[in-house]
Amino acid sequence: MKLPMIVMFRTLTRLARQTTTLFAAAAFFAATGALFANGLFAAEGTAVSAPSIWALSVANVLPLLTSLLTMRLWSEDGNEERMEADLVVPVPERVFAIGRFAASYLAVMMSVALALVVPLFILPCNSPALSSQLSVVRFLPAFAALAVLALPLTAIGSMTGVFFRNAMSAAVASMAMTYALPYAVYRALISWSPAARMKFAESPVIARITDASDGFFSFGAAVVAFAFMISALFAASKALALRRIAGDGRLVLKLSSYAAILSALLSAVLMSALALRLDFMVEWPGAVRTASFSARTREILSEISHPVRISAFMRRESSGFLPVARLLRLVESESRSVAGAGITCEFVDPRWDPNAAVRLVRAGAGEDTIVFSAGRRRIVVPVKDFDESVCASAVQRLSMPAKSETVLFTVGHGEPSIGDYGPSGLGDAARALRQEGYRVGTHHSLTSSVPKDCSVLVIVGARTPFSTAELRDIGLFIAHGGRILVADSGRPDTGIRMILDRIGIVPVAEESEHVGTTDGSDIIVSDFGEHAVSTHLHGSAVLFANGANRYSVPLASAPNQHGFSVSALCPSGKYAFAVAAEKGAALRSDLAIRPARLVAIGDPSFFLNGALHSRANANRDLFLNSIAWLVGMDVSGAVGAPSNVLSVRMDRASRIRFLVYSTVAVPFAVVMFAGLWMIRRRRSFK
Amino acid sequence: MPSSGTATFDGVDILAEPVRHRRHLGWLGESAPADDDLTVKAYLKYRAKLKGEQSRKIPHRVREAMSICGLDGLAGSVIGTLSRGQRKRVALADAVLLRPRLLLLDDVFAGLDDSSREAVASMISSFSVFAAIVVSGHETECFARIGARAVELKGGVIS
Repeated sequence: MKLPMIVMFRTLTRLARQTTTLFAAAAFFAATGALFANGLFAAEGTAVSAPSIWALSVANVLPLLTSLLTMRLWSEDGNEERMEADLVVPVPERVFAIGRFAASYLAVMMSVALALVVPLFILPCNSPALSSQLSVVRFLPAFAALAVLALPLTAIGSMTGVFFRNAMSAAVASMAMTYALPYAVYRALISWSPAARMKFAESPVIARITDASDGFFSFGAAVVAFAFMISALFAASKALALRRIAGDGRLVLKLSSYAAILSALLSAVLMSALALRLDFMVEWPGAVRTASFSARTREILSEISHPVRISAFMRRESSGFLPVARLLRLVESESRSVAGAGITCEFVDPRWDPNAAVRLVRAGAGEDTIVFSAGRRRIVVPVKDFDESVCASAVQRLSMPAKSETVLFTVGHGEPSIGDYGPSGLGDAARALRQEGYRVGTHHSLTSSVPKDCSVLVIVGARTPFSTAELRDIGLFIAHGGRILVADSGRPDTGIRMILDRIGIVPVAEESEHVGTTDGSDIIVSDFGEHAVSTHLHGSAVLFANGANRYSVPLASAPNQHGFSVSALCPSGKYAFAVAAEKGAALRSDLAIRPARLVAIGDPSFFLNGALHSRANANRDLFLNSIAWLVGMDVSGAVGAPSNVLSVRMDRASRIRFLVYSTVAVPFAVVMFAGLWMIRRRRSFK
Repeated sequence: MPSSGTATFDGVDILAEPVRHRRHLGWLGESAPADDDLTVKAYLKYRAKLKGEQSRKIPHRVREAMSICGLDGLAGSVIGTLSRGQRKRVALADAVLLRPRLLLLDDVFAGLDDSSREAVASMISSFSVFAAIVVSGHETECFARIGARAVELKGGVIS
């Protein structure tokens, strides 16, 4: 090991003194900084983690860096007889190949380490909201993934330098082999092979980098990297030996050397194919997972009793394809890690996979949908509504017995309509319920009593009184274990207060102390009670309209005089903007007894379309969790809001400032310091 | 490496054992290759390490080679700032660093002025004490000065 280290240190000092190294590093920092900044802004609100965005931005530029750093490793030596001088010493060629590779690899990794300045130092200064997620530990998996990726890239760059006497030709050849060729192979594969096209949503290299950044390392990918690195170094040492043979002589020796080089490359390809076939994921030990599902989702995935197939039926060129692909890949990885029954994902492009597209269309799916299927059962979700909670709910529904719960909305008292998709309608809420697998309908309480198959009765924003008969009917419904969701307008004449009084839910008249939004029209609540409905919402916030009702909440959890246990969902001091009540919970273990449940929300506009439109608040999650709990999925339902959503929270000026710093500051600093050092050194020569 | 036929060194086929015979070989190329960014002393130390010399002997080897080739006053000079003749002497020092038994000097007098040629010729004569020397070039008067046995090549064949 001594000789390769001697060569390595010598090569390192040569690289440090070359101006091409300086400009290559500066270009690398500028490109990665720009890609990282743009990637960060584009991923706002998604489950993509900052480390994976950084890793992808570096990975896209890494072939350029390795090509530029290795292009002068050998090429000029050949022109100036320096290579012949090296080949005369009693050192095998492989020592030079390994030593120079090691030096250039170190230079590459030092550049990658320096590129961490942007996410670890510049980004926290511009986005304090993200600072808690940005630490060296969180970026370690991404750095390790790039270290593995850099091995074959640097080795191939080093190898091409042996074959070319001109530095620029060496760089172009290296770029072709490390970037253009793999991309061309990938595009050719997905164009010709339907199976590959449905399996690979994006380049396997990009996919593995993303997975590794999130803590999942592919054993197969590591084997591929090492196999190509070793074969490239072998080819480089053989090519160096071929340099000794001048003229047309020693034809047999030359041919055998070329055959050895080709055999090495072929062995690398075969070994890679075998490794990818037998691939398995290794989870980074002790790493802080930056992009993962909530604990509830992982629990749902672990409880899947039979395989589920998820088909993304959309065009690859559509803007939503990559986010969907990454989320589905995360689902696959998570299901493997929690040892559930297994989820397989496929990507069906309607233009390229007509057979698969026909299958999905016959199953009732249109383009731009995600189809969940298990056996004969299917759930179709539009791509624009697809996120972690929808995915988990769909998977859970498929694994549950095929029984559809019915949710009925009362009409006839001035309530908003479930067919209204305007700002004051309930269309979005109804659609969200249908996506969860519920049957949604209306109940005309004036003309009929609550149907027996009604799982949940929803009373929202009633403005005219309920008749005595209607109130009696609703009371009987509750007494027989019925479940009701009330979003009360607070009008005393509707009769809803009477229902709440019978349960022990008392509205209070005091003004609430609240933290308003910038225009003072909403109340932001970010405290949540420890209840199945709300416990998973910690870390998010819900919005109530200014003037929303609050309810008194008993200090003790024991049943009140009506037999109901009342719990705060969204506490506000001594009171709560939303409460949940349950009667007969202690007897739940007896399957014949169905406890009555009620959720009361003090704001009739809480889940109108306008409130649900923004996904930055958790109103939708609280609404769906309430329905799930009322239906009876409190043990196996209630998916919380994802806590790992990327939230950069930079205004326009901050974004511009961050983009400028990340693209200009680091490269400028490198050029300045390194340039001054070189000038000083040259002056000392004179 | 010969393009055809065989070559042996101490009875050992150089193709069969390519590394072993190079321990006793010193070579100087036409362009006097050397690392331009290093000082003379640093470059010779690096070359001595590369050739496998023991660490404790390297300073002595470097001093001796610099002394033989008249480089004592240039130890701290960066090679990139040296003249052609001085670079040639640095390459010579590299070639004789470990006192090889065979010296191959390709076009050693090319591009040198008369005084430099005389100096180099004197050095080569002194090398003959420990090494067999093969010198190639077109400067026949220099070969005569060092008392070399001349072999003429025409079309790659000894005439």
